[in-house]
Amino acid sequence: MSAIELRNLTKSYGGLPALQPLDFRVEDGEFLSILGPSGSGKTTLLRMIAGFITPDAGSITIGNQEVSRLPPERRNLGVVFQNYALFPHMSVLDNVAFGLRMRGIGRNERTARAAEALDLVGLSGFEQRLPRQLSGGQQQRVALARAIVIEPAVLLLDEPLGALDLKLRKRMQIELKQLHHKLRRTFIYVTHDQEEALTMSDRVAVMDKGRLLQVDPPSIIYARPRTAFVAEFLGESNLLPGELRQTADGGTVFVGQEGLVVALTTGQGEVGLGKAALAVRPERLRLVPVDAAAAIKAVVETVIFKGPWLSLVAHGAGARLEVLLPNDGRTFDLVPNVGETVALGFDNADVRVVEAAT
Amino acid sequence: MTGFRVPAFLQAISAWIALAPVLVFMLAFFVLPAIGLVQISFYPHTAGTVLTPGFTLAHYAKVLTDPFYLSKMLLTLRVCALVVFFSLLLAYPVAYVLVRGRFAGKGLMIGLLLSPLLTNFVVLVFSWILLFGPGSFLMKGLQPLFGAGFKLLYSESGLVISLVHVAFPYALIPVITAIAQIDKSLEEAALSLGAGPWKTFFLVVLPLSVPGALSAAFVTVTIVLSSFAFALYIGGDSVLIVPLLIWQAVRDTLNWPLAAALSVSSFLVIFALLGIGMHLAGLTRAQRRLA
Repeated sequence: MSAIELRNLTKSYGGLPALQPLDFRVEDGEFLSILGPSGSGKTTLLRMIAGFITPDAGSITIGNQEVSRLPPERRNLGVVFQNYALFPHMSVLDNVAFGLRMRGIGRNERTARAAEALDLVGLSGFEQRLPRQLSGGQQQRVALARAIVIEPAVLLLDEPLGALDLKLRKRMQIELKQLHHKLRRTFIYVTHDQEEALTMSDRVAVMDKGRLLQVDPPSIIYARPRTAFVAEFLGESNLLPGELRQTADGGTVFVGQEGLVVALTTGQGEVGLGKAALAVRPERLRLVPVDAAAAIKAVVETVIFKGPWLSLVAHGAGARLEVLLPNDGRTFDLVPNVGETVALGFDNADVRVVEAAT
Repeated sequence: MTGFRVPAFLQAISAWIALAPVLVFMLAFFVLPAIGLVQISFYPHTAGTVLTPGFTLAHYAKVLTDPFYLSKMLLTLRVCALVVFFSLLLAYPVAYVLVRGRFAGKGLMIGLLLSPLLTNFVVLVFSWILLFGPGSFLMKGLQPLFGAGFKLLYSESGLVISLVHVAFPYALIPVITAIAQIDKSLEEAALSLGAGPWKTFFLVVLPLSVPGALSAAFVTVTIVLSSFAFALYIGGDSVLIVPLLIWQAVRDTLNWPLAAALSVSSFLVIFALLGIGMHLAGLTRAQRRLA
C-alpha cells in the first residue's frame, strides 16, 4: 500500500542535469538506501519525493496516489534531516507532537502518542527538555520520533547519522534497522557511506552524476557490480585493464595484460566486446604457487598487518592490486617480502567484467 | 628579531583609550544635558520667565493626571504601536521573499526598498504634504470612495502612513537578519509534518524571529518620536503627539519645565514598555531553558 514508484523522473538546474530520467520502484516495507557521492543527485531525489523540489518531468506514485504535484504538507511522509531540524523554541514533547497537532489531534491524545514515540526511541523522561539541552544522538532520536509519530506512509532519511561520531553511528545503524523491523514501513535512506548502506538496507540504489546505476540487495550489488563505479564505490575493487574477445568456439574471454587470460561464462558482465576491465575484490584474491596457471604475476609493494587481515599492495597485469589475506593461521606462513614476485589466483566465478576505466 | 612589546600598563588601559573619545563626547553632549533636562523638569514655571530654579512635582502631576496630557500620551503610544504594527506587517513578507527567494534583480530590489534611507526627511515630508494635500491625484481618487470629508493631511491615518513609509526600511533590516538566521530545514520539517505555509510561518518563522521584530520595534519607535517634521507638518495640531506638545511648550507657552517633564515621562513610559516586551521575550526563552 505504500510502495513508491518513480517514473521518468527528471530535473535540471539552468540546463545542467541534476537528475537524469530515472525509473524505479521501492516495495512496501522495504529499507532502501540511496548511495552516492556528493553531487550524485541522491539528495535531489529524496527532496523530490518529499516535495521540496518539483521535478521537471515524470511521476512519483506513493501507494496509489500520484504525488509529484502535491505540496509536501499533503504527502504524509516522515522526513529526518541531516541536521535534525528540531524546532529550537519547542520542548521535545512539542516537537514530537507537532505533526499530530497539525492533524488536529487533541492535546491529550497527542501527548500520549508523542510520549509513546519517545519511548520507542528510548527518550522517555526527556519530554520537557529543549533540543539544545540534548546531545547529537538524542536530538537525532527526537527527530526520528517526530517523523514516525505521524505514522507516515514512507520515512525519508537524509544522511541522518552524518553528524554523529563513529561509535554512536554504529549503534544508531542497528537501532534504525530494529526500528524499521518494528514499524514495517518503507524507509528511504540517503547516505554516502557504503558500509552504512550495506549494513542496513534491503536494497541499495547506487547513484552517480544524476544517474541511477544499479539497484540490488547488498550481497548482490557487492558480488555483481554492473559498472566500474559501483565496483569501486561499494567496497574496494581491483580493476584490471584489458579486452573482451570472442573465442573460436563461441565463448568469451577476457584478455588482460602480461598474458592474463580469463574464460568467462554468461552473466559476468554487461559490456560488449572490446576494451573492458576485470573487477575482482581484494578478499577474493589469494596467494597460489608461482607456477599456477591463470594467475596474476605481481610484485609486492607493501605489506600491512591489520589484525584479522593482512593487506598486500602489489603491481601486476597492468594494475595496482590490493589483496586481503585472512589471518586464519595458515595463510600468514606464506607472506611474501616486499619486492618479491607472487602469483595471485582467483576463481573465475569471482570476477566481473565492467566498462573500461576512462 | 624581537617585536615591539606594548607595555603592560598600556595594554591594561588600551580598551579605555579606544572608548575615551566617544565616552567624553557622550558625557559632554548627552549625559550632562540629559541630567540638566531632568533637573529642569522639577523647576516651577513662572509666567514671564523661562527658567526659575526650584523644586516642584507639579509638571509631572499634570502630565500624568491631566486628562488632556494623558490622552495625548495614549495617542502617542497608539501612533507608535500602529507604525510598529504596519511596518512589521509590511516588512515580514518582503524580508521573507528577499531571504528565501531566488530571483533576478534581488540586489536591485533591496536597493529600491532601502532607498528612503537615503532621502532627506524634509524632502519626504513635503512629498507627503503634496500627496495628501487637497487636489492631489491621490485625494481626488480617494474622496469619491470615502466621502468629501475624507482627509489624510492633518489626520492620524496620514501621519501613520507617512511614518510607516519612513520607518519601513529601518524595520526591514533587523527582520531580514532574523529570518536569514532561521535554518530553512526547520520550515521544511514543519511542512513535512503537515503544517501548511501559513502555519509554518506562525509556528516556526515568527516565534524564531521575535528578537529581530523587537529590535525593529525599538528602531521604529525611535523614528516616530524623533521624526518631528512629520508630526508638525502631516499630523499638525490635529494629531498632538508628545513631540509636538514639547515643541509647543518650548516655543508657544515658554513652559520649559513642562516640556522637560513631558520629555522625561514619555521617554520612561515608552522605553519601559519596550523593555518589558524584550524582557518577556527573553524570559520565555529563559523559562524554556530552565524547564
